[in-house]
Amino acid sequence: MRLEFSGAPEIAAPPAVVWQRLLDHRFVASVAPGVESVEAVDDRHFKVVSAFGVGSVKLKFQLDVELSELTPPKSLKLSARGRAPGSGVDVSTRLAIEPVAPNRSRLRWDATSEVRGTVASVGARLLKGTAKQLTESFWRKFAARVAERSK
Amino acid sequence: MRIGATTTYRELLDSKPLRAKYPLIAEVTEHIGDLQVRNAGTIGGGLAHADPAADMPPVMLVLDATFVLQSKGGKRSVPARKFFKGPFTTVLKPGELLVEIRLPGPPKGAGMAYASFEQAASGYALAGAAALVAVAKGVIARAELAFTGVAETPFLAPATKPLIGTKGDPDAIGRVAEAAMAGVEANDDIHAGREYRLHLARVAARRALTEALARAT
Amino acid sequence: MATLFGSGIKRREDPRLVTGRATYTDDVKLPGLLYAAILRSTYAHAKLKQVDVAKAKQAAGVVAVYTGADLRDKVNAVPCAWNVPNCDLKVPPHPVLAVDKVRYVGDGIALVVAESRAAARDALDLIEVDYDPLDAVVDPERAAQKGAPQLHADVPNNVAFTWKVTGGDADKAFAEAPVKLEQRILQPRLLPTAMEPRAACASYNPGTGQLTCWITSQNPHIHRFLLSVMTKLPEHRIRVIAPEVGGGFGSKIPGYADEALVSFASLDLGRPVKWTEDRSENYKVTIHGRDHVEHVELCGTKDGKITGLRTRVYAGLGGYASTAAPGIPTILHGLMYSGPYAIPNIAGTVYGVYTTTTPVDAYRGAGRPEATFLLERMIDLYARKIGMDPVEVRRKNLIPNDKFPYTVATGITYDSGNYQGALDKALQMIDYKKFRAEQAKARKDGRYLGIGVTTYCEICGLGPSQVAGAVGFGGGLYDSAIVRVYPTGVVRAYIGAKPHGQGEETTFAQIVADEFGLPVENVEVVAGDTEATPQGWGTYGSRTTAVCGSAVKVAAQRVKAKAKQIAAHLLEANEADLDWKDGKFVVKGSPDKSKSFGELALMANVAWNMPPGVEPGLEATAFFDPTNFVFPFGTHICTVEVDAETGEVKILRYIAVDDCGPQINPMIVEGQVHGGVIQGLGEALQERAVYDEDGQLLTGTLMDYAVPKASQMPKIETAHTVTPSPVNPLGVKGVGETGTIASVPTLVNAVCDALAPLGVTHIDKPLTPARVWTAIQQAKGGAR
Ligand SMILES: Cc1cc2nc3c(=O)[nH]c(=O)nc-3n(C[C@H](O)[C@H](O)[C@H](O)COP(=O)(O)OP(=O)(O)OC[C@H]3O[C@@H](n4cnc5c(N)ncnc54)[C@H](O)[C@@H]3O)c2cc1C
Repeated sequence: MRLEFSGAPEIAAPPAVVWQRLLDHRFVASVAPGVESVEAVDDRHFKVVSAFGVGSVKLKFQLDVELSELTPPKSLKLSARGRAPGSGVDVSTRLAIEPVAPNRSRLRWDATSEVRGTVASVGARLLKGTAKQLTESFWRKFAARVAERSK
Repeated sequence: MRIGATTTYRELLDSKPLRAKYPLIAEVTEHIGDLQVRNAGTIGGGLAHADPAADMPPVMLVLDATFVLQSKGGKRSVPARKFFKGPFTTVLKPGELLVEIRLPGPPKGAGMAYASFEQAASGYALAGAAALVAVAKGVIARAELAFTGVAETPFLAPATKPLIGTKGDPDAIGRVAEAAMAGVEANDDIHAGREYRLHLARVAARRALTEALARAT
Repeated sequence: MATLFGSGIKRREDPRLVTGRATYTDDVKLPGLLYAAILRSTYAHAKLKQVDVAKAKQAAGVVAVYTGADLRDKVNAVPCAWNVPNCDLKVPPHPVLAVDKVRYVGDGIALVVAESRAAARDALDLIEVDYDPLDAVVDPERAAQKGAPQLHADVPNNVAFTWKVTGGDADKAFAEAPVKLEQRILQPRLLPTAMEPRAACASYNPGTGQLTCWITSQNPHIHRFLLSVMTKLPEHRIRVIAPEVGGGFGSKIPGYADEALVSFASLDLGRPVKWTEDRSENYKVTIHGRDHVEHVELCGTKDGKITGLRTRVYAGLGGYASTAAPGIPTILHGLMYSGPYAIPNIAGTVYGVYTTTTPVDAYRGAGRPEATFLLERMIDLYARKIGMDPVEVRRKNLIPNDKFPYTVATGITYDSGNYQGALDKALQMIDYKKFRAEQAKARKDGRYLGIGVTTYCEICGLGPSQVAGAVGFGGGLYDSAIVRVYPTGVVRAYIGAKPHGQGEETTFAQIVADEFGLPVENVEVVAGDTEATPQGWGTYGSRTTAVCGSAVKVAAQRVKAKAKQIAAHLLEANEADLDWKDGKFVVKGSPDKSKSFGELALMANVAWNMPPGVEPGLEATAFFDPTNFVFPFGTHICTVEVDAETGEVKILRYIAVDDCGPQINPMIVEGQVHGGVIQGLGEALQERAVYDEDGQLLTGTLMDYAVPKASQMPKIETAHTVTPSPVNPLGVKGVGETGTIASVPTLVNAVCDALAPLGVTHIDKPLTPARVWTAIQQAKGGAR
């Protein structure tokens, strides 16, 4: 099942700060839903274990995360390929940072997810709303925390 | 009236005082799941689970219930109208339980009704509407309308005002039902597309309001 | 003595089923039992780059892990056993575990065997699979077009076969006909939802070299053969036991990789191994049904005489050709295009197409519901086009009663029929004229009432073995029974078929008890164990009573003939002078000189005084091979009211008049009709397996796949006519599938009839409120 979400929250921080945060895997993990562990393979590759629920279904995902197409401090691509029991997920997110005013930026994100296997087949009714909520709240939280820290 | 969170649907159905005062709760409960689900499922569990298509949440919204939440740190009260945050998401914090549902006395002579359209497999609502209508001196004094199944959370229709002070003729009810869907981002899934869901929600709203009005005394 | 044949005694199967005392495959527990779990592809179509099982092998409780590469030379591919001739059939290999490519979500990748079910399942998560994703293709018509993703190397355009049926000259008929119409008809993919999912438990004894495999099987002898092919063990060292089987609807006919995998693991490890599906695995892996895209044309005269039918059908087969798959949309579908009508010119082309989906095979009705639906739908469209009553069009085209046996344009010969009789009876029950008047009145009030009438006939009682051979079926279609009389006069019948809900333990006991004049309790029917029962071909295609029941009857007659010989000897009389009366052989004119069946059973089994040259014992075996199929028929009528505002369909009345010949047990017949009709109404109203464009199954649970519930279904009014079949000694026809065959078009035609004033002509199944509403909007020229 393919899911596409996007958003463009404004962040009370300059692009350079947002950029720095995006590359800080500990920081990103701290705002991501249900992250249990993050391990940096190198500065572009990470192994993440994340657990969250879709309705009554609780899942633990093992994710391989990669940062690519980096154009500092403007844009990058964040890809994650993961698996959970009987299931798989691929998320590809394009990120673009634009200055909007002094010390403010807009973070445009565009996420395409492909969900496979059991999760796709049990989730028809539940998945879309939950995934949307998880994704949107992640980026909202990210924006808020970046602003908080740059105060 | 206060309902403990672990009250089962079966116990709700068996309660005479509840039936007398809030017949709508019993009416809706009869449509939840099947016998086994009603024997085991609790009203608190259903509300805390916050399924966006569950039947009871819109009832809580029109009745303007208050939920009592408790954790080790203490108790707080949250209006039902502020409880549901997203699909399967509420204001409940980790370590917090829903312990009680408080219902204000319904307005005198209020009529209540629920209309819903079920998805054949799950029995959950594709779209459902709960309505409460109170009549005073021959005209509508209060009207409440809430929906489930339509969007990411159950929600209260903001615009029932045009009914107040009227006799609630079909056209006016139709306009309120129509207006209730303005700007609503309806769910779209394999069981019902966006447009059909919106249409069902309007029909459910109309039917629920009409029936609630007919039941008002 | 009153005969048991025709009496609606209660099913003897039921007490154990409803009290939870039945033993299913998953109930089998053996010392040292291991549990298997199978890693299944999450991609619909992908190359397998690497399957790393190292971590899974280390996991606690895991005994062994096997991949496709490990088994490549050890276990043979899953065979396809219906090699339909003259259609250029291409059956690419279907390895028991994928080797280099996966072709549907659910395709097996690795097998884990562990000390507990939980350990086996947990270990699946430790297997790392490196996929190279390929494009999926779900729609069979699209899959057959140039440029579609290719599943198999040697199957261009994914076309597994191109099968044609012709009779008369359809092109000429169409060229000359004053009335022509065409319609694209979809037969959505369905999930056969047997209450018991599939399971297999294999136990290889290295000491004896024998493999015993318990399988959720509708046909244990076929499974023995298929297991022998896959495991390479000779057939005489395999015993298949199908214990209680909780429904199948066709899904437990095919051979699956799963039973071969547990059998191999048991052979390899020397311990018993069991695998049981849960519902999610069942929906992904157990065969699906239907899945046709049909382009149908019909032509005829202006006054309602059908002169021709043409079809072009794309039948989805899924990722591989399942056991009987090629025969379903061809032999069991295309040959039935004439239905109960005399249609002189028929031309059909069926493409079997591989798609990146779960394999499709026989599902209750198997090909015939699709044929009946397309024909009945076209007749209603035709009637509407020429402005004639749809019942009159049917009447005009039905094969007349005096024309049987009747050979239709597709070349098959119908055994017997009284199509007008069933139609008349059903119309009388509904009071057709009165309903039409009510409908006209309701329409004036803005209410939408509709009526659907289906006259159908179907082919079942499969079937003559010679024909089976000629159409490429990889086996016989006779069936068998041993009737064994014990010294104390009680009887066991061991049968080759394997009832799994149809009630033959009861009806076959009725047949035998009648033959011997015994109380029905004195007869047991044994099925499902290849060690005990003679070679048979299973329970499907509404064949068990017509074919295996006839074998039971013949075997019982043989036993009785021997008993008579012994009676004559003991009574010192000629056989010709003996009468069979009240369970005794009586010497004509000397009512006190008699031998009861019980006495003869004892004397035969102790053999103290046998007639010269007659062997001891009292039992007989019969193999019954019918001379033709049987063709049950009938008329179903449904009336509905449609809420045009919401699209909801309410069934007002449902009438089923079926003719399955003489009924051994009318209550069981009625139960079969009820079950079939409800399954068909599920198909008509709410069931549909949905894949997204990436080949992900979105209806993977019962929360999204709408199997009908009792509260959603109408009361069903049944009635019957009785037209015996000349092709078996019981005169019976089948009744297991008539309900799913007749009810689907009946309901759909009723809804389309209701909405005719709004301009709705056709709605694709299932008629969910959303689809009905959308069709109304489209007819109004409104929004989507
Ligand atoms: C077959 C079936 C059909 C159904 N059909 C319908 C239907 O038609 N309409 C409908 O509305 N619902 C339906 N339901 C859902 C049913 O209403 C809920 O399952 C039920 O209300 C949940 O109650 P429970 O007591 O079993 O809660 P549980 O399942 O035990 O809990 C649900 C969730 O809420 C949490 N929770 C439970 N109680 C509390 C509490 N007091 N405070 C905080 N958190 C809590 C739990 O941790 C869990 O996350 C159906 C369910 C089933 C299984």
